[in-house]
Amino acid sequence: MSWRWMRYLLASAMLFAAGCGNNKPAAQQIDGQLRIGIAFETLQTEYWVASLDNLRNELNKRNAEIVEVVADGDANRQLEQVQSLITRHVDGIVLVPKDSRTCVPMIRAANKANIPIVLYNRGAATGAGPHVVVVADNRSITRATVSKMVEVARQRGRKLKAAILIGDLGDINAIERREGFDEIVAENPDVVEVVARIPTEWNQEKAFAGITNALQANPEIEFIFCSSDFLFPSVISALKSANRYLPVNDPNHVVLGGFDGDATAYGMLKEGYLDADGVQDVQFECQQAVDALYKMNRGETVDAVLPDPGFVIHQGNLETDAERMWGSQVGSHK
Amino acid sequence: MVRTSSPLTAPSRHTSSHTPGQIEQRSEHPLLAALRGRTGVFCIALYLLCIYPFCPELASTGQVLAVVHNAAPLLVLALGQTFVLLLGGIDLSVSGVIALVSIISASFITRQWAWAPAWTAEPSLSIAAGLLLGAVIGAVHGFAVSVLSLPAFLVTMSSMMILGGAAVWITHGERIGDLPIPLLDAAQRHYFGLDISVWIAISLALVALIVLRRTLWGQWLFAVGQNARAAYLAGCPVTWVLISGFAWCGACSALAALLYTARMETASPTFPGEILLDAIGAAVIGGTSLSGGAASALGVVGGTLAISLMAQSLTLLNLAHWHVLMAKGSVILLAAFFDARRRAASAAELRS
Amino acid sequence: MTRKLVAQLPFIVLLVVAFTFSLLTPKFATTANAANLLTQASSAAVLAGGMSFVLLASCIDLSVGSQMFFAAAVAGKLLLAYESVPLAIVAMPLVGVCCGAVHGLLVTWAGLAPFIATMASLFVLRGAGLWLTETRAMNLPAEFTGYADATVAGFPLPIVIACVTLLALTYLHRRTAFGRQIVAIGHDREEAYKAGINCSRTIWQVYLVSGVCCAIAGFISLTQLGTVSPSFGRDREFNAIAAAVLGGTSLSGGTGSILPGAAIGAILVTMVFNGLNLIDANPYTYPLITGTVILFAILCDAVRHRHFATR
Repeated sequence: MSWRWMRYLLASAMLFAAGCGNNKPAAQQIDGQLRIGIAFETLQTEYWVASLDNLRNELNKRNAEIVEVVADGDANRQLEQVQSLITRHVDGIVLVPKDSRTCVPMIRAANKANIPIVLYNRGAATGAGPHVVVVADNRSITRATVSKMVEVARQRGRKLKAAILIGDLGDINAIERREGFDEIVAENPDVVEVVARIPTEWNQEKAFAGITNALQANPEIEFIFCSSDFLFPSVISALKSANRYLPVNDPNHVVLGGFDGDATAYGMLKEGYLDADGVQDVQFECQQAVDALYKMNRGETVDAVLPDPGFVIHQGNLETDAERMWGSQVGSHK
Repeated sequence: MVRTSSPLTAPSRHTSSHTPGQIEQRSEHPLLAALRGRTGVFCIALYLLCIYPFCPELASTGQVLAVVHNAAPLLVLALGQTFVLLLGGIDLSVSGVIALVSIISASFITRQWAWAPAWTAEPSLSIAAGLLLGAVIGAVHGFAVSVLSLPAFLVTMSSMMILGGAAVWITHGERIGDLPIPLLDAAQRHYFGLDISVWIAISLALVALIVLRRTLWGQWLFAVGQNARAAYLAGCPVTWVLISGFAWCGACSALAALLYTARMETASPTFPGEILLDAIGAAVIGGTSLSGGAASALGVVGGTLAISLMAQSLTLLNLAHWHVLMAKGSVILLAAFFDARRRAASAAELRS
Repeated sequence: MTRKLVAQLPFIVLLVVAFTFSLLTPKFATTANAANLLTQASSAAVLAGGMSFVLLASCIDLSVGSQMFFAAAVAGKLLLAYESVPLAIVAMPLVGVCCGAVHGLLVTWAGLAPFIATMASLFVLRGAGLWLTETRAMNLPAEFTGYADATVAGFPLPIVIACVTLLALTYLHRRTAFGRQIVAIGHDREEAYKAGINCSRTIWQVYLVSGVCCAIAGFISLTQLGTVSPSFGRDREFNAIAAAVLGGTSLSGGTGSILPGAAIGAILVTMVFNGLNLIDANPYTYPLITGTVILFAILCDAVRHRHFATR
């Protein structure tokens, strides 16, 4: 009885295998038109949404065919998606890895298949093999941002209690931002004392619960650095519940600082609630990534690291430098 | 749907030509009769025929290999889950076991803990330790279900949270990388074109097939699943059967953990819970009854391939993974619906 | 005597935990902290109430978190498209009712076991919500998040909403025929059927109620969080089950209480985390402690069920 079942299975498999061996890439490509795969970890933050829009624009300018995949925070799924892109014979991959280590097999697979791969905005751990990464200098931008925050804090003439919302520890960017913050704080022990280090794993709920708890445990916190602007709604909500979301000129204002330069941060700067924000240049990074892919397709060599210098925007240079901040150009996203 | 029935079942209505003494022999078209018993394969074939025009890429060797490779760890999980479903229980702790086992094995291999002596870094020992841990966790579940009479789904649900929480606590949320290169190379080597993980999965499926059909333990699993009281009265050691069945599931989850870790070259303390959907779905589509007492190892293989194939084909159609999630959930609801109908029909037949 | 003690067990455990934490840190036993605690516990209390209601009928609803997420996703999309807060607020319970109706149909008409139906639905609704949001976080306007800080007669709105919902559920449970029918079904489905109760319709209605509770809990959480993120509502079902069980609801159906039971359970679970935070516990222990609390709840229920079985 069961062997008959086996025969049916074998027959179906053979029928299917007869159609196999078809290794040609499915889509007929117009000469010169490339098929580019974009693999994002998540679209959770305005930064990623803006990045995707900019990448699409850049690729549409070059008339490329785009295949998009989003992994929603699952590294295993991202690996399957990247492998799927590889088997679909794309001509290049732009990857936003979930984690610096889990992307190593993805890079290796792409290299094995001779598909150029560019890591966008997040780097990989060592040992991945040749690849290109477009990344901002997280540490120095954070140092500059936190320095600005310390300048504001110094005017109060006393030591402020501080909290930092730390990102996912698998993200090199999060670690560099934390280190930048720690370095400046260590250089200014008379102004800042860190009482809360909140691990958020880049998760909105964890950030909200963490900052609420921190404010409950330490109501005197007056200095908060948010490792990414997308966590600001949680911080604002927690501060509002404690009646501490006050503008810059208020004596009880909580010194706030962020990173990314998104529309939320721009709004907060304009309304006078945010002190400093480290800005990554989305358009520049996307342009670099796409350029690198096309160069690699033509066989040219590209630098392994394409840096984005970024800059700090604060209440002082808001008027002059607002246009450079991508969040000011983007309306509230839908 | 093919089910290997144990001697204790009533005669199955799907084997009309093989069971002597069956009074009603409705004469129906032999093709329909054959199809009725093989709904799973028929559905897969139909699905393939429908989907092929939309994504002809699916029939390329690369895609088929991708499906098979993605399905391998899932097959291991599904085989584990099948044994537990067969006993009438369920194991929700899969993601927690995977997280903890991969962390602990990786910690031993990469010498994360100063207190561990040097011999624990031996890969084979760390792997064995991981599998043993999975089996022990499963045995604890079995104990809670059999001796303490706690409902399986609640025990394994809380276990999922505790094990996942333990993994996060041990590693402080960080992933463990830097696994030794020779080990990773060995784990990713191809034999006859297929990854070693695929061969492991196939071997496990063969073991499960033999166990369920030819061993006394397999017969006991069916017996306990169908009627634990009757099995007990017939002399079957119900407690040990439950413990061993859950232990098998734990060990399979541990094996799957090792396969995932080797594939991603990283051990992560968190593992998404959606894998449970895939594992149970594969088992249910493969003919395993959710109320226990019916299962088929080949069916599970078919179910796993069906789920992986569906996910891959939907991805090739440029549907996002949330569409795939909805599709998987719907397919499982459908499979569970047919299972419930079948159960109701056979219950009605028993009563009449 | 022991029976009365066991009936009051949730309250006793609550007092013990509160006492322990107030000994461990002076920051615990303050009015400000109590107010914070109750506000944080509001959405958990509504979820626990809804879950208790479902457990009374000896069913279960594992998809509460995903229902919250889906309702939130719909509300978020409506807010961004039409910028009308009342529309979003009305839409959420409607979405809850629809989800509940589908669950009810799956359990009654399709004959699926409640846990497999709601477990599959957990993933389908999560997928549906992600489809609507495409994993993008939707930041909600200030008019919407303002509801988190609004007060009614001096009490924070979240607490008021939770109280009203729990009162309504208790009324349904204890004062209506519907409630009695649910308890009958929970005790023994066969006997209830023989007594003439329309089990299918009653269970279907139970899932409707559960859906509405999820939507209300989602609303409370959403106003507090201020944004619809792709992980909204994840893992909330386990906390809801733990809170319901800790509050005295039996997992095998029939026995349970919503007010004060579910409320106490929710406050207890929230209190554990509030206390741990105030004593500066390692945040990486939180998931482990959640799991232990749930296990404790289940063991309590098993012991209670074993020793005080009503049959």
